Amino acid sequence: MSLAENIVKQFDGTAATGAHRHEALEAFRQLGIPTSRHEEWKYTNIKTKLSESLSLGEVSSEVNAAVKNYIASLPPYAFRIIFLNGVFHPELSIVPDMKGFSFYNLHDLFSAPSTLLDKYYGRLMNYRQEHFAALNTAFVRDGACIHVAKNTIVNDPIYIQYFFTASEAQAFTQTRNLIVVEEGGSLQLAEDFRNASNIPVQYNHVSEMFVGPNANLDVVKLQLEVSNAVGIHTLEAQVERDGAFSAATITFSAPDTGTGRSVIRNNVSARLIGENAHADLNGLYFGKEDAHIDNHILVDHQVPNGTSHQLYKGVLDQEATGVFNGKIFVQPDAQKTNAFQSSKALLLSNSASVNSKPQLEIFADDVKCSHGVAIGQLDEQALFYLESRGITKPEAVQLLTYAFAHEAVERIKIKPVRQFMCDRLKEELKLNF
Amino acid sequence: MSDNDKIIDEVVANDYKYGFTTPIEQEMAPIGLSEDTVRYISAKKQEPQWMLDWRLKAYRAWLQMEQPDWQNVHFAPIDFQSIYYYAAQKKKKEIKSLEDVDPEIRATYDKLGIPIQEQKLLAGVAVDYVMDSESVITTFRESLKEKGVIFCSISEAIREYPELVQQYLGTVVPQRDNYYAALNSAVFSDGSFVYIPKGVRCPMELSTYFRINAENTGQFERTLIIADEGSYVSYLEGCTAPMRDENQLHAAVVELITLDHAEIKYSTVQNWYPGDKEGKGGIYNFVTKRGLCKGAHSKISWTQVETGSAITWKYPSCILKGDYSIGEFYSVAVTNNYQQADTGTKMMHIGKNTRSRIVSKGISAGRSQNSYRGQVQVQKTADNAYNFSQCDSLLIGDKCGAHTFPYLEIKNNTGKVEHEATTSKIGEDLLFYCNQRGLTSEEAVSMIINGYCKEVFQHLPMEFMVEAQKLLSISLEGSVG
Repeated sequence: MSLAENIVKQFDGTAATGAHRHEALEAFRQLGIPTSRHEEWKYTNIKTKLSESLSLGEVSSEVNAAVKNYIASLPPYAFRIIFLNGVFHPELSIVPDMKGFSFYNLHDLFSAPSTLLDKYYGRLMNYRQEHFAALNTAFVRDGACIHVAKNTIVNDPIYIQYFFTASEAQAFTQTRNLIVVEEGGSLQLAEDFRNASNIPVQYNHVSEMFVGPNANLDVVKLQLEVSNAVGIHTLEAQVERDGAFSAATITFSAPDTGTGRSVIRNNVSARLIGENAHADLNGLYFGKEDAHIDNHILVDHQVPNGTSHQLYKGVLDQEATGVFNGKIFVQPDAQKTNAFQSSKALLLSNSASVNSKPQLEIFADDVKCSHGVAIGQLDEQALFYLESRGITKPEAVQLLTYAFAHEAVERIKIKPVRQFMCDRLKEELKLNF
Repeated sequence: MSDNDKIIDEVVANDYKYGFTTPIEQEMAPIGLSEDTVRYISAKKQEPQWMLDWRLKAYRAWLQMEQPDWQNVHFAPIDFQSIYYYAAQKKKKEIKSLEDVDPEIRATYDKLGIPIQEQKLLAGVAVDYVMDSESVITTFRESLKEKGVIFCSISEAIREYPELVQQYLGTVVPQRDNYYAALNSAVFSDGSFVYIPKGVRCPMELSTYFRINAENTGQFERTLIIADEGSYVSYLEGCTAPMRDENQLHAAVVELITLDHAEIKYSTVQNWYPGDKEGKGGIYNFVTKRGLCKGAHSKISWTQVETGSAITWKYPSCILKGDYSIGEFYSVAVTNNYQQADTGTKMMHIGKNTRSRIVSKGISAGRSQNSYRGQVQVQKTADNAYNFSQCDSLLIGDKCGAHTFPYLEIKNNTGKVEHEATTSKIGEDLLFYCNQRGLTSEEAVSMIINGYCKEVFQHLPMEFMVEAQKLLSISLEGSVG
């Protein structure tokens, strides 16, 4: 029995209430799990990385000591929403109580008719064509749904934290976020994914984000200990007139336990559907050992006068592999579009490799679009300069790597996260200044 | 703007100048493709058994292959059974001098504006004319012979230099490389063969003019160029084809091989019939071109100017196997009306200290779609590889599209790979600046476009450069606003 058939068979009628499930299951039955013959999965053979007998059933979500320690050690976040193995834990969460801000967990929303779900849920995610979006839509149990009402400014960032304490190696957890920021609203959001166990975890996360006219949404996706995980992330954002959306995806691989199955795939898409909308998609990935980090970005300019900016930086050491695929679409009517993309990767070891595919598809003539890719190693001259000033070579490498990666960290819009990442980067590179 | 639009309309309205057919009696293979067709062609060419076996192997491979569909082009499926795979002139007589050439054919070349006499005398070009499938005449044979250079049609080479052909044919583009290469390997009718011996610098630029003539004839040329140690050759290929309503398939294969310290410079100007303004007709140009830098310090340089064909699908590539070898690719691709182009290059770095450079300029006008698709691969063994790629697209009008699909696969950390791409239209400010200095909009546009393409044109041999500029102005002149 194939992997896909095994998954389809686990479709559970009782958990199957809620929107789009049956269509999504049918779509997944058709699509299956992609192989490397599929263009979008050319460099990431996900099929070989997933366990052969995946289980989509419910997993215990008991709070273990590791999670408790983690939460205790966390910086004093103002607001946090905590999920354990994909299940919401209100007792661990601190949800803001302010006018115009509403939080729901999807599990509760699914069980009753909801206008919010009717209006937004599954509207952006193309589950008819995306393998893992279909899988997620069919099987997801819980997740965060945030609604920011018109002209509401949420000042403090919200942290949505997904802990995985997999007690079962076959579990394939489906998680999901639905974020809606209405006209003139503003929200900052961090999606944080952590493996709080010592066995490999597998998860498939989907986010749908709606940015209304003149609204602002900043998102940071933190994937800081990914070596022990197969994680598939799909983020779809839609930006209306004068809206601004930013997403920073930060991926760090941590010491591996030798599973050989460490894969992170990020699909981040922003669709600009209103004039003068802006999207800012940035990323930093730090791969070690046999980590495989794949970033697929898409900016779709559908209307005139949109702007977009993409900056991705990668540092790959040891046996790590990086994949970058950045697409810019400019639709026929989207005149005066200004789109920029830059992707740089640093290879620190001769066994590291990177596959890059920047892609422009442009159907309008009055546009400015450019992309640049550079792949290589540290500047010999810069290294020599530092060495000639008495800095040892390893230190010089660390300093220059820090400088290289910091450019991406700088673009994180959420201040405490930016500060935290700065420190984290120093720690990673064993720098203390 | 209205002025510009007018000029654009005028220029876009330019009809294909080279649409005419030459009435020559032709001998054709039965329509369609089967093992018998392959045998028929091989027999017609009086080929030895090994060649027939080679073709049949390719044919059998082709039968098992599927038509690729990953390109960014759209066209009606090709019926391979409705194509004539072989067409040759019926009357065959020995040709010693230009006067012996069929006057009809000579008239054709005159219409194309390439008088043989003049080229022979002034440009010093040895021309191997291919009228449909059969090589018509080879000039300058003698003076090349003195240097030991072999320049003849491939079917002649198969008969006269079987060791060389057997040694190299299919080593760069194997029979089952891709769908159209397999088809070509099975049914190729003619093409050029060049061998430059050790240490010889070919005294003149070699050139072939291909023409597709007979109706419903797919043309399948095969070119094989071998540059032995320390040699150098510059090879030109230029094409124009008559006006046709039915789509014609053209699937050529070009193989280049350079040994130690050798260099091949391969230039193409392609101006086949692109179809009419409604996108009807036109040539399907599905070509496999690949060069192998086999020896150390060898170099292969591709330069192409693509203005014709309804659909162009070609990726002249370099396999940089020898240490210190160099690959270059310079391209201008122009699409207008309903033309579609998916073109680019592949640079495979295998040897140490290999370098490659890609400069691609795409210009799309009308309702055309122009794609750059390129791959740069640095393999684990390729220490200190260096690649620089630049692909720029210019859009003229708001109905066309420009796309870039670069693939960069880097498996060695000592390599350095840089890629840049931009897409834009001709800046209003540039136009205004030129207008302000007394240039008409049309002059300004032509000047800007020529400047835009200069980086590529300067790599063309002198006489081609002139032709390329002419072609560019024919296909685009004023279509920019």
